[in-house]
Amino acid sequence: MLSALFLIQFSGCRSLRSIPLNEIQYAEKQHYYVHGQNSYYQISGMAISDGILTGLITNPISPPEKNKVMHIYVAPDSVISVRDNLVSFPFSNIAKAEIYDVDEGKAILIGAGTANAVFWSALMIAFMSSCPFVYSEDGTEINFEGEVYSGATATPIERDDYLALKSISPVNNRYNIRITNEVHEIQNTNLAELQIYDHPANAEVLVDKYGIAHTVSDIRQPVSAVNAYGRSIVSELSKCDNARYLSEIRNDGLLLDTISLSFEKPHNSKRAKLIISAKNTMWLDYMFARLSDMFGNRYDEWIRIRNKRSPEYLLQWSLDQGIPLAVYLETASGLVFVDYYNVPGPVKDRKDILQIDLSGVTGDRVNVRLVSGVMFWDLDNAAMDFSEDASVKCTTAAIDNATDETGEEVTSLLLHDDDRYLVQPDINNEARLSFKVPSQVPGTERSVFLHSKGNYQLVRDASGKPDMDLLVTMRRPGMFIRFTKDHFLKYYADRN
Amino acid sequence: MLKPSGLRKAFRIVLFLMTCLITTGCYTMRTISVTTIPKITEVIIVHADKNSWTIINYSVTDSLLTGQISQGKVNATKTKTVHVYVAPVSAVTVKGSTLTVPLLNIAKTDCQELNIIETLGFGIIWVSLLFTLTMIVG
Repeated sequence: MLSALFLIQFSGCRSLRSIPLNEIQYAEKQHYYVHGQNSYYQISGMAISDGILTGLITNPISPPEKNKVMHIYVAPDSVISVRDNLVSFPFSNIAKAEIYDVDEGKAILIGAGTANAVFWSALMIAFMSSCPFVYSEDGTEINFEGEVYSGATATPIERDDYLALKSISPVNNRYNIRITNEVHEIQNTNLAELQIYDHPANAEVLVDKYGIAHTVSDIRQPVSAVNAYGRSIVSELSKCDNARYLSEIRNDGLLLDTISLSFEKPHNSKRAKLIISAKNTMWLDYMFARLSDMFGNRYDEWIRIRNKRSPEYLLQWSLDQGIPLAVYLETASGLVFVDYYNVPGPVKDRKDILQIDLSGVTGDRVNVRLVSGVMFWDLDNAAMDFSEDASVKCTTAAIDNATDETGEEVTSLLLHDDDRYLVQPDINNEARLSFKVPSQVPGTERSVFLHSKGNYQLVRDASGKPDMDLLVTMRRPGMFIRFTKDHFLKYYADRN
Repeated sequence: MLKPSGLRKAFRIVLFLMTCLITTGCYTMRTISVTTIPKITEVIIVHADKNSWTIINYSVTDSLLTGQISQGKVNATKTKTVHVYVAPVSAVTVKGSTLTVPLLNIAKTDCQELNIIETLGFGIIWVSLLFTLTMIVG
């Protein structure tokens, strides 16, 4: 990868360099640009004889490679003779010759810059505990769509995932996707199928974590949004744009960041759809990896214990530590926990939707709170839709063909929710999945979702004695957030 | 990652010197017409075959470039210097300290200008490198 980047960069580091005129015939170039004051020719097959330079006029379809090119500047114009396809002029009328050469200074600096970028990317990957990456094909490009089953870091909390494939287009009447492992994890995918929705053009389809499709056609932005310290964050959350909200960090005891949102409620609305566009922070991933490392030489044992826990226990621990984004609703009887959003992964924003029952809400506002550990979530947008779900047609497409990076068939591993898994234990493992495209309902728009199910395990090179005193405290609610916040504040203090 | 203070001091000096070196900016050569030589130009260097002359107090008329050949070293910045390439060498006429070249014999005229995008780009790369090195050395 490093050498590829260097090659790419170096090829762009060529700049023109003058060469002595007596070196023209030895430069071994194949393509010459002859510049007069008011004339210009491209020639090849250059020869110098009796003080006359001659060449054949060419018109290449594509620009020749820079390292095969020479520019020759001739004066006056009157000495340039053109007969049929032959251009000739006296060698003594060449004023300047230039060739493309690697600009070493530039190349070294860009190379160093690239190495630097690679260094930080590698560092990021080393600390990243993401989840499988999904790419889709559109006939010309392969586009990164997002991550699947983020946060399913143990077998009991293996979960279904519904990822919108926004860039996918049929290629030879097939939908093609790729599932890759690009981080230090063992990724186990149980199921992969496409859910294809044909829906009205004026509605967007979003699939919630339960696999229920909702249409969004009347999206409303919050009339107010404040963070845990009372600061207005409406401008950050009102649009899908570059303005984003990350927790405010203060040196105090606050562990949970609470975002209070208020929406105007249409009269007689019984249900609302709360939509967020967000990702979790790289900080959360980094600190979870740090927590895993604290188990030292007992890391594998910890993994075994986690894999024997009940899903309820692991989910409750996760909620107690503010990892998912919890949703609370203000009702006549007080604040009620409604549901939570699964972590979407740290790499790309993801739109997610939750349906909320408004029967307990009085008044003309819907007030909700989004609660998570400080610095765990990175939000771009929060909005609400009160429209009724429109009629959509869903077609499920099973895998037609799937192969791994060695070309081995893996279709059967992914066809059903069973005990057979596509296991991707190494970085660069890649599975290519192909689905037949079903016919589309006329007059509709189409949205495609990847329904997958799986879990993954972080691969850590942990050693040494575990810090059991600290680890035992992690069972208490909020202690993981305390640990991460203390770590952040200490790091910040050390740097300042 | 603390290192002996002497090493860190030397490292900082190297960084400072390299920063000075790089902050002189990135220049690119631009081809212009001899009739559009920038007004700020103080020096023209005339090249013909293996010869070159540095001229000052130049003038460009309809058909001739004329200037005074500088006897000593002229201090002019890159952006105030223009290079003119002439062929054949016999087209250059030197009488005393006056040099004359027919415009028809000027095949190329180059001036150097600051490439802001490259300068900023390399500046950013440089700052990121400094940041990384500072993080490593402490």
